[in-house]
Amino acid sequence: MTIALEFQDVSKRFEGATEPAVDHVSLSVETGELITIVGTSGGGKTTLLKMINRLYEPDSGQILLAGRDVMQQDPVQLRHGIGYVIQQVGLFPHMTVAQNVAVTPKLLKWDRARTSARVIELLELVGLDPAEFSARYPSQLSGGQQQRVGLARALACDPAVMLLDEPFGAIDAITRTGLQNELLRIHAAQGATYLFVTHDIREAFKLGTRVLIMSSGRVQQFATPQEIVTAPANQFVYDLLMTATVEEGEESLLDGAIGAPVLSAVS
Amino acid sequence: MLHAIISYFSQQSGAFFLALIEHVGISALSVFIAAGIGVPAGILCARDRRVRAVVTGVFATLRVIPSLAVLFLCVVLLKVTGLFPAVLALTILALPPMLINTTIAFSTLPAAIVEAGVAMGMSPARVFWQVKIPLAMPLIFTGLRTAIVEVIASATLAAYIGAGGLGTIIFTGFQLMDNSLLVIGGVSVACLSLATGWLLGLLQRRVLRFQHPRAATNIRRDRMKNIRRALLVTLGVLTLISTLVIAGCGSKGAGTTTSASAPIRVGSKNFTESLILGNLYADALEDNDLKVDRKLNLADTVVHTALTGNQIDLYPEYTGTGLLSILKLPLQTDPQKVYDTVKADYQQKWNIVWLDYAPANDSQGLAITKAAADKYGITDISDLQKHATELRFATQGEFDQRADGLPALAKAYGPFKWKSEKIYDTSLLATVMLNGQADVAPLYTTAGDLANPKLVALKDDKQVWPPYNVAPVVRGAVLKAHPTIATILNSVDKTLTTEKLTALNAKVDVDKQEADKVASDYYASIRAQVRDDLSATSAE
Repeated sequence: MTIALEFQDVSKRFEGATEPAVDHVSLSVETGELITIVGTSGGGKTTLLKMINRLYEPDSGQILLAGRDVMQQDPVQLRHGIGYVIQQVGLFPHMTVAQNVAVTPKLLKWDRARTSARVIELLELVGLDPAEFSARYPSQLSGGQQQRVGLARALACDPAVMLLDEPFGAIDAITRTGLQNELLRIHAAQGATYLFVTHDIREAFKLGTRVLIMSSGRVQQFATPQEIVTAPANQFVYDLLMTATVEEGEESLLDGAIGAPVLSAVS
Repeated sequence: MLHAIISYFSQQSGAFFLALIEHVGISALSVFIAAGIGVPAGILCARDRRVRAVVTGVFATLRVIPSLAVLFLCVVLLKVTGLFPAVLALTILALPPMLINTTIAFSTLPAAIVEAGVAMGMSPARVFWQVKIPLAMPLIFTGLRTAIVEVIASATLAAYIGAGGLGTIIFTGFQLMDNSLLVIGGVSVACLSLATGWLLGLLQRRVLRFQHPRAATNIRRDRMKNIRRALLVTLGVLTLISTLVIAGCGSKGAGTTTSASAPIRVGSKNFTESLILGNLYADALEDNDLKVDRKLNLADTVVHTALTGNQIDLYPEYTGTGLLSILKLPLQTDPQKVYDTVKADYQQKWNIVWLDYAPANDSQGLAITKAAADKYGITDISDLQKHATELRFATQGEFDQRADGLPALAKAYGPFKWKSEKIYDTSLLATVMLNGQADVAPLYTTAGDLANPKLVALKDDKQVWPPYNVAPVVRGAVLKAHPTIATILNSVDKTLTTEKLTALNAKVDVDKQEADKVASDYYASIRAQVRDDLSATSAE
């Protein structure tokens, strides 16, 4: 396996803050992995993500994307190759669904035929009927539909890396489960590297090929869901797992996680 | 009233549309400039919280100043009237809503959407044009609408400083106490405001349709409904206009050929000499069995349009004013040629007749104290130029700057290097000379002060200044209905020399008599001659 993304001793402290948001983080991610990042609020998850597409810049250390330091690249060019999905969705309200999805193709100067074919393909991929939804404005969509468009927009030019910052955080439980399953399907089909921030430990364990647990800007544990459940690295990880202890009759933490054996934490 | 409004539209539709176009033009230009300044400034303000607080505070305070004050302030500060100060004042009025709304729009942009644009790899310029501007548009547009409505209403005031527009109709109506004109002007401004608001609403819905999108299936039906509504409104307006025009055409006969029984409406401008002359003309006509309605004391800006607009029938005008200010023709200095030019042009353009001009010439001029004139032997401006270095000059300031003032003299006579030069208010110039504080000052050639033997008017021996001979201008239709008007007023006019007119002005301005009293006294002194002239012509 090739290494898609590597953090080398990366630190970031915001102006006016006493504690660093990200504190000497080193890790590497292989191509095609779906890494979920979970931890307490303010634990540095989002900061870690936003340093990859240079919305934030690290104070020290290096972030290598496909072996190249992101700080040595033109930010505009860099971002063309990175998909970005956020909780607030961030669709452009003055553009139709089709125009929103076509933003990156247009930036890359695709011709019209190729762009519109791609828009139709993407809307079908995320489960929206192109005939019905292409001409709608974001305000005419439900929250779940908006996030599907957000996903389609991020995937438009087949980015090698997808950054997802709590994309399903504001969506009701039933719709969220559907979206999670579709994300897994799309990830499996597309083969890009995904980094997925969530504060929901069940979501993290369900989606992640590996789970990165962060607190106080530091990596607490970075391993497969199974390894974490069987061997929590420290008290923080153990406490986090305990918050998600399942009740009688509920599916276990590891149910549905890719490649996970049928194993319940409590049964 | 309705009849008056209909006849206005039938006879004055040209003037009405000109006023409408001027109004729209002034408003559009002002809003355009205000948007050009306000939007970029608003964007800059949004970048810094402290600058934003200061600028929005200042502009919110500015909005409290009434538009009339801004307008007059611009006139006072710029020392000119007309289009420029009007546009400047209206621009100042339109600026606050544009600037404040833009600032608010740009400082409340939804951060997540802007971040999404950046994260997708839009360059800063693209983020600005394709994300920030469209997101800010609804608020900017609201500011634009506020500004436009405010400017259209305030542009009415531009008429007060001679910039034209629909306010001219209201202003004229006010001066003439003519209610139908007030209604026409007021309703037109209101309609223009409503129509513009409606158009902007349509535009806003089109440009910002993402705010209130309709379900796709409804769009077609709604579009049909819109088209139908627009057709209906257009049809309604067209019907109204054509009704007015047709009704107007029907009454045209009555409107243009003035009936013999209607009183003759005599106008005048709003300064001493014109008031005396207006009263004098009215007295002369009344004495010879004509009914007269006095509509005196009209502002310079409305008196000519009142005549062409059939709101008055005659008033005293000056040949030079007709040539330069009204016809806007190049300068001429021969009195007869100027008279012939204005007579022919007025007849052709408006069917208005210039009766014979009086010998009196109320031109620009320079006056000198009798003492100085005698001491240096000065009788004309050529003499004055030779002795300028020995003379103290008093001026109101404007005369030295205006192209047709001292600079024009210097071109013809050579430079004037005064011994000293001081600026006073116009009303003080004669007093200053009489008090021995100055030797020379600009005074109009019929100024009442020149009746004082201690002051002498200097001859413009090189004819730099155009002649301002006074003469009645009369609507052709009225002259046809009452042919004796010409004989009577020509008879009055030929008695009016510069000296006599100066003496009449002095009675009002120096001796503080009433203008109508001065006029009737003077008419009594020439009555016999006027009567003789009239009987001589009717005997022919």
